[in-house]
Amino acid sequence: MANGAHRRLRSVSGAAQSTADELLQSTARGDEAALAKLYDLLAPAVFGLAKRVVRDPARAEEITQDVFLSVWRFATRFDPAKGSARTWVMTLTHRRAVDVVRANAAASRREQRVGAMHDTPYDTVLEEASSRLRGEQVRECLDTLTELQRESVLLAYYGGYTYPEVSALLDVKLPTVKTRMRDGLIRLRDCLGAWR
Amino acid sequence: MNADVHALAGAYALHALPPDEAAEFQEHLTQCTSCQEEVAELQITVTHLGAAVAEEPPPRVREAVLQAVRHTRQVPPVTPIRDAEPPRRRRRTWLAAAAAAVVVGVGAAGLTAVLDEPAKDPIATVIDAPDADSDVTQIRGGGQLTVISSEELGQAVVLSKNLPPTGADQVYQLWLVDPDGDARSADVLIDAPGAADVVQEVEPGDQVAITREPAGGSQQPTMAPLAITKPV
Repeated sequence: MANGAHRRLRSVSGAAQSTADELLQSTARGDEAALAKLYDLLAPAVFGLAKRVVRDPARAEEITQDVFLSVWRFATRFDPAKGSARTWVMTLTHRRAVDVVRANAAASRREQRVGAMHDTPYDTVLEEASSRLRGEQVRECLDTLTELQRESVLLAYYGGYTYPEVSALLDVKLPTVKTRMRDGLIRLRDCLGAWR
Repeated sequence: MNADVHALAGAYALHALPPDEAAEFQEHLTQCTSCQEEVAELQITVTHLGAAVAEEPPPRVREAVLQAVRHTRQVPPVTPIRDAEPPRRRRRTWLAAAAAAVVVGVGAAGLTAVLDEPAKDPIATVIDAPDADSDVTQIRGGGQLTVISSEELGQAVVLSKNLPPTGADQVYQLWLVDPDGDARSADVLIDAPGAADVVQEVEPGDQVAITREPAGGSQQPTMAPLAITKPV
């Protein structure tokens, strides 16, 4: 059964990916309609991720606009050899969202935020993250991670925390967090299948 | 490289590295093909975490995007760099200018912040620019320079490391050298074995050079460059 799920995931994401790649390449040639189609294809993922990280729908809308305007402007620099269009757009989105979260983080505010996180238990963050996951396979695969791997990955990705912040939140040594993030993602990668 | 640096691939893909470590890892990436592959794969992996929380945005966002697109020019594609002049000649011209101490076009350019988001870390801004490109240059006498530049931003992050100590009366100074061989101060002085600095007002074709100068820096370089990078 697990195999079947992986195969399905592979073919679905494969088809969507080539479409996104083609649309981005047309966008690079100034095709506004291609960008509109690319938007329709990727905007839910972009908006959903931005909202998940910044937790502010208005800011998430701004980020979504910002990301697609960047996609338009920089489509000419997209290099399919370095990765898919979808990954490119989502990486940009996560970066922007994380920047928004960290922008108001002068060092002191960041500390406060970490402090505040201790007041609202971080497992609420994690619980919320997990319960909202739509992708069945992603959820199943997250279950294959150790608890520490999963917490490290999710706090960084959805919480927008740096690894020193994650280390403080989980009360785990810095090198341990670094390793768990990598090991966790590798395990997730292997579970989701070796698609490209 | 050492296993410790490799271990950062996960945190890097999660954007969980503080800016200085992100810059350091980025530099490592330029030399480590297996790390590039791993990062690419882990970026695909985290993309699925993103897609898992997908949510339809309000229709106004789509309208705003398409409206903005109609009024926004796309950046030009990258074209192959013409190797117009061999670096040697460039260096000589530059030195001649230095020797004559001709102050041409060297104003106090100053570090004018031209960032869209002033609150954001300026180093991260350059490193994460979609057109960021990096290159590593060894320094004569020891150490190395890594330049991560964004043509679009007109900025570069210059990472220096393992610089030999200069003594208290000298500092390292960074310069921008234009295609005519004229050097202008990048307004960056380094008095530590390593540093990460943002250089502003970088023009396409500029090279980054480093010299040792009297403490306080010089208006024009007083020595041949210890290193000069490829044109950005």
